[in-house]
Amino acid sequence: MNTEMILSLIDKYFEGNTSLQEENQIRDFFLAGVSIPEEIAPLKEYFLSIDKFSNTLPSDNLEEKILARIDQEEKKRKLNRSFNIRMYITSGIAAAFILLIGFQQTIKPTGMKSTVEDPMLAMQIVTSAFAEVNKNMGKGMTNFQYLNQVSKATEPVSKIQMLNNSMEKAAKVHYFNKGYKAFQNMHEIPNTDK
Amino acid sequence: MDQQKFHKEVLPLKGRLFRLALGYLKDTDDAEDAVQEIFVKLWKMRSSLEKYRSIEALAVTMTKNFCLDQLKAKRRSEVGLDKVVARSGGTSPEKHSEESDLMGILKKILPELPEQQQLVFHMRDVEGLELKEIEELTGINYNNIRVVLSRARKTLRNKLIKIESYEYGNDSVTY
Repeated sequence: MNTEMILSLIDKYFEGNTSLQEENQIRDFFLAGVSIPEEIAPLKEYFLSIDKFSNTLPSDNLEEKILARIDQEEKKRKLNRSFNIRMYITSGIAAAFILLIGFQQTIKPTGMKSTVEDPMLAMQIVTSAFAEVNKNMGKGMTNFQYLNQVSKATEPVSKIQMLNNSMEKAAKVHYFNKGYKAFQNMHEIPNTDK
Repeated sequence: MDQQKFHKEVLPLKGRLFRLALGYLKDTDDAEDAVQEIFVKLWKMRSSLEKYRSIEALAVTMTKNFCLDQLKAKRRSEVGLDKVVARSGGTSPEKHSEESDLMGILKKILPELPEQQQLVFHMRDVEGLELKEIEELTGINYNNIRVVLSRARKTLRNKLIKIESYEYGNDSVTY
């Protein structure tokens, strides 16, 4: 490749207009390192460093490392999954157990248990309990005696009510008399009162 | 996607993803770790991989994003460390020998490019992809790829020549 050609290619390269093939030609030119014109000699390092970088490979065991990491992640995921399943089951059982206890506490009758085995003693206790109830009930009834006093006190009031009723009836008779007198005057009916 | 298909179609991307990660992270071990992480992520989403137009485009995007996240995290954690190194008098001998290496220089200056230029340069000059393929993988317009590529190449050339002239005391660089 002559100088003019390589200079032209390099210009094209830095303008971003070269094809991959042309770029390889430039690289090969510098890699060969034969008769590099002085003006482009500093670019040798540039193209060689790119070439070196392009051929950089990861370590041979990178794929193994990747697969080992993936395997590790899979194990972790499976472990987490089985842990989650176990947690779901355990919490499910626990929840069911709590519900069961709750229901049992709610539904369970709170019946009293017999603490006395001797029937006669039981009878005695029950009788004394009823007597106690009777006594207390009597005490309570004495409070109702005050009601009788109230009834007596309100008796005169009911008499006044009866008087009122009689007075109303008398007033009605009076109005009737007045009306009859007016009727007599109109039709000149002789007064029979005399 | 079953295991066999994953091995056949996804695993062969490891070399390309490794170099891409290396371009960003500059360290071989970090790049390999990044690639492993990406493959684990791809494996986890294997059931939905076939929905994607291009698994390679997906893997490239995931790798790029992962590396950028790593760099951000690294920068944050190294803020204090940088001060210590600066006070102790610069880089270590190992670091210096690595940087003087050809590929070391490229690895050093490549991350200085804008993200898009870095990606396009990597795909074309490192991976040797056709512009059409780059368009499909990155979604960048065909004509824009040429412009981006040209800018990336010129910036890298200038930076590389600057480093060379500084290291070898060569002031006669004319290109």
